[in-house]
Amino acid sequence: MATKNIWAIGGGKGGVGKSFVAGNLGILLAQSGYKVILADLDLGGANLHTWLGVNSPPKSLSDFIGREILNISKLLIPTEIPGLSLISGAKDGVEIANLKYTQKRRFLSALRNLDADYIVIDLGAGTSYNTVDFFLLADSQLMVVIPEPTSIENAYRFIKNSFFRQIFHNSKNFRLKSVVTPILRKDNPQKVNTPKELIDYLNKLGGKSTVFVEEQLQIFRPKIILNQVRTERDKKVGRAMKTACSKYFNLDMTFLGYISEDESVWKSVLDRKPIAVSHPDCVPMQQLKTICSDILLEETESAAKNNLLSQLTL
Amino acid sequence: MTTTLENASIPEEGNYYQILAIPSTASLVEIRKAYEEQLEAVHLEAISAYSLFPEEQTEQKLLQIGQAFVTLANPIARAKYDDEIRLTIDSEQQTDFQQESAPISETPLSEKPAQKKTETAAPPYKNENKQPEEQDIPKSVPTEVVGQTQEQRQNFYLNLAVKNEQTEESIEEYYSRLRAHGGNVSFNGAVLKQIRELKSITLDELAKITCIRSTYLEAIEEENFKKFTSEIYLKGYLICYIEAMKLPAEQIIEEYINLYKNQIEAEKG
Repeated sequence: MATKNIWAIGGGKGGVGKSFVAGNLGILLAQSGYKVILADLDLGGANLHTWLGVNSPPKSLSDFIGREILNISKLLIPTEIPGLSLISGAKDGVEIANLKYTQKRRFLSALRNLDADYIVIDLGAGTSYNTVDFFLLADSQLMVVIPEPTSIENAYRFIKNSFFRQIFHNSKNFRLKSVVTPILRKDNPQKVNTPKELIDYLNKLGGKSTVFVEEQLQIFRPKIILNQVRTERDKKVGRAMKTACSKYFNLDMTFLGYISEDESVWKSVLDRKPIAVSHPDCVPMQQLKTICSDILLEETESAAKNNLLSQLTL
Repeated sequence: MTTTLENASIPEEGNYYQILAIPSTASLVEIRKAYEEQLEAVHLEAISAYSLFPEEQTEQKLLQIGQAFVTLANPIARAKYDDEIRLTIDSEQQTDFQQESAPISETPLSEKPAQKKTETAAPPYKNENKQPEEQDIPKSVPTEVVGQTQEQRQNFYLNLAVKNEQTEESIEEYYSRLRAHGGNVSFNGAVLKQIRELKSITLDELAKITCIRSTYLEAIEEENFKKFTSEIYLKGYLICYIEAMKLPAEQIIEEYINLYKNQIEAEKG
């Protein structure tokens, strides 16, 4: 079976265009000939089914989580776009928001076993453990941000929470859980507030902590897409965020590019037709195509690097 | 040789030329352009790194580049400042020279401390009377500023200093009248305008001195905040306005920017 790639789209703030990006990336991949599954995990606010013009699904995620349905493929809803199907969270509310980590892993593992090349997950707003965990379990971690203070503030909160959560989960494998857990306690005894402070703290401990941090920094690679760009000044925000991430967090964040604000976007929303279908040649779609190609290219390069590394190790 | 001048110490970020990233021979247009670029950089960082550093840090940076700009745009203040930094550099070089030429040196040459930041600065600008402004002129520079000679600028500042000095008493009286009516003096656009008029400073005059278009200065007085592309620009221009009129910066910035913030909040509903 071909290796499936999971792309998760988060970013913290609602209304910044996560569904717009997730949905259209899914369509672009399908139009490129891949088998794609769009998973709408915006629990409580899922609406990709409406946007794709399909009926509200009879069965939903909670049925799979609650083991009423054992085969996840029964949740798949075909769409009008060849190669694209949908898993909707439309029937699910906040009651399944507190999933156990093992349940999330089971769900993603089931997704990976489906017959598809790409799985694109639209995460909801916020920085809850649910959202952050799905984000971390994905192969490509994409964030959508708009050039406004509230969105940027939420994006940094999302990055911080995700990084801390990743450190927390992976510390177990390094037998460092007893070291990491007290640092991340709510009363914050070590005064660790930012990823940079956490990195510095662990590095100071030396030994396997330093190796652990190095490895975690390699894994944690969020990529930012700047949406709703209106001015020349807005365009500069993406790269400046990359600089800020490096300066304040010591994290290497990838800036994938920006998407201009365009009337074709809201027209497509009103028409309830995906922009990739109604206005395939508009500026935002051209920009999204470039972004999509760049993600694919990076994945290919990364896979080639990993192959080479495994050959060298053997 | 030791410097006896006050305020001759150079901040960590470097001297005013280094803060604005310009050579010490920079013309007025270059200084104005550099100021605009620094405002833009502060704006970009304030947005792109929002919530990652305290807002006071932005304020501090704005004050710093504002101070650098108003000093270097003023030929009299600039000449004095150049003397101050020249004295500081001379004094540091003198100390270094004395250390290097000491008969018994315990420090091997290879361990000589790195040169200080200020020593790498270009020699301070020579105050020549004529300095035509015909270089690459950015759109943001008001046309009134273009073509000003050093001599003309010196006269503007001398006239301004006289106006500021002569009206000290009448401004105090004005404050007293305001206090009599409603307690503390609150600096809004209308009050700023009245102070300017009491000082008999015209908007055109203020535009020439601050190198900020009179339409922006007028917008400050009319609290027409839409005219400014961001809070950073409003603050930056307000600092220049306040500095030219010799008004209490901290209080005005706080009170005036609150008006701006209130309006933004009200618009958001």
